[in-house]
Amino acid sequence: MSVEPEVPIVQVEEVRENPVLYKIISSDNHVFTISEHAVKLSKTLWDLITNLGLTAENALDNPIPVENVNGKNMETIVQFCERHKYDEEEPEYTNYIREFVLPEWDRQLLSIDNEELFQLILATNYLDIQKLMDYCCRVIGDMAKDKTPEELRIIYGIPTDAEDDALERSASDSPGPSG
Amino acid sequence: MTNPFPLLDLPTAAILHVVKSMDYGEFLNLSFLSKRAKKSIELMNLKSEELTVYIGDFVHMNMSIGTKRMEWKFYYCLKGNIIDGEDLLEESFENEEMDLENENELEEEEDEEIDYIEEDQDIKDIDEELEEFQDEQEVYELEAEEFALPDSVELLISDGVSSRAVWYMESLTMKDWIQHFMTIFHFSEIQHLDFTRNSSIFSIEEIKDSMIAINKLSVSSDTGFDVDYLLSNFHSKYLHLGLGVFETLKKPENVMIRNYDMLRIYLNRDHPSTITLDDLLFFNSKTIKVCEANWTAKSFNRFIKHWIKGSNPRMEMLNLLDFSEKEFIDTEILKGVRFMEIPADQTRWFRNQDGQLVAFEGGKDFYRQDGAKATIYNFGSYENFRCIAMCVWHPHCVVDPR
Repeated sequence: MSVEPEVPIVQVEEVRENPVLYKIISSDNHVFTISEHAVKLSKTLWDLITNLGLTAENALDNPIPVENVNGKNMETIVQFCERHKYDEEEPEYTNYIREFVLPEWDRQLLSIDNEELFQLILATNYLDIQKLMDYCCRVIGDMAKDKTPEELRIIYGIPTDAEDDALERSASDSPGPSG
Repeated sequence: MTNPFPLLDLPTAAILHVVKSMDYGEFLNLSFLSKRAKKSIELMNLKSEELTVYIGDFVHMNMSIGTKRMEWKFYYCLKGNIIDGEDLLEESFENEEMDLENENELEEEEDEEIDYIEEDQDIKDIDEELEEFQDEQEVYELEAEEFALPDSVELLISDGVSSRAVWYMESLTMKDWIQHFMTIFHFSEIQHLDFTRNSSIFSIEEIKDSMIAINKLSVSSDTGFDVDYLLSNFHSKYLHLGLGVFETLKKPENVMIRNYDMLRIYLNRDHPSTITLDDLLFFNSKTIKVCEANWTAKSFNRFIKHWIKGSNPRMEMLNLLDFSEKEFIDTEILKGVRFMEIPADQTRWFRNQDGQLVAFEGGKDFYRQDGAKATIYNFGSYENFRCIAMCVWHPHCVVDPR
């Protein structure tokens, strides 16, 4: 894969115990290697690994296909998981606003354009990576700082009620798959 | 220019995650943008645990969610004919300050009209205006614009760290604001509506039209309202009449016969009691608290005898506070009544109209003809004033000692 990373590459290393590595194939057929501790940050992937019965012996021979995530996003996700694999478990964030400090390394990792960020959140949501979700959403939430309602409308592309109604009407008027 | 981030196209869980990472002022801004945006804020499922609305010469709303306290202030443009120059000066400075802080916002929203102050009016102009007012020494009638249309709304949030946001939304009525809060902060009634000083600058009809169900209503003596008319327009479970308000009622019986869960009346100590024994027999509230009642033991004894025969069947608790008669002793109150003294170390628990438990240590028990038990309890004294409670042990008020 020839994606140019904009952030420091995190080497996959398991120094604290014997390395167990897994292979993941993205929707565009890029192959990634990820350590056991890192892959555990994704509830979806870890459930899949458990259900498939992958072990240290057969893991690398059985790559896991992830149809919903492309190579670019998967690379970011693997970097993130490797970086945070030994982090202590944090309590789930509730309604307490901005209660954590976003580390500079992660802020840099997530300094991508809005379209990429949107796709990354969809991937993160699918792979169920709580910490990355917290960080991505924090970056998006921070866009609202010191903004007026009309500025927010532009930043978040919020349609007016009339635009939403028109969109809904055109969706209901358009013929369905069989029509 | 970068593309917008399509927030509302995210999965619901992710939208929720994003809005939870915003500050209150920020996600409330978002909630005003469209019905769909508002819906996403509703998903946060924020529940206001306290909601008090104070109506004076501006409207003030207190809410709390968890450890966060929100204070909303709805400002109105007071018309030129203000009561004196000083008021105008204060109001103008206040508004000027807000104007300056929101200068950029105003420039962007040119079609927004804020007509209560000239934007280019400087401090010198205000000084001149004040001098003019002081010279003329004329007292003007205080009159606000429509209650329904606040000119600006300020939000102050405190939760360790304080923050502030201001909105100038000309088209949003008070009713709209309250309805908006109802859906976002998930409440269906105003827990406490308090009419305070000068609230009569607004029309009762307009306030009524903007409000929703009210749990507790408080009226202070300096509202300027015709209190009879005010009370005929607002219904609540609790009514609290501030010092001297009861005395201003033209038809106090209308208050006495209403079946409030709690009626609290502060009589004016400097006036002879306006609540007689006959009045007390009229009361139809579950809990009645009268401060400065100024009754004699003899008249209270007569009340108890009426109660034994069947009067005030709905009453659960009667509190008489600040009794002035020093010789007012329990035996006189219960003269001619068969009662039983309960040892002072015996505690019984009474469930009041809020479901809260009230401890009764000792007291004197007596019975009415239908078998209902009541206890007279002297719950203390201070500065030579005695406080007496009478509770009626209806089945729903009795707490099982186990």
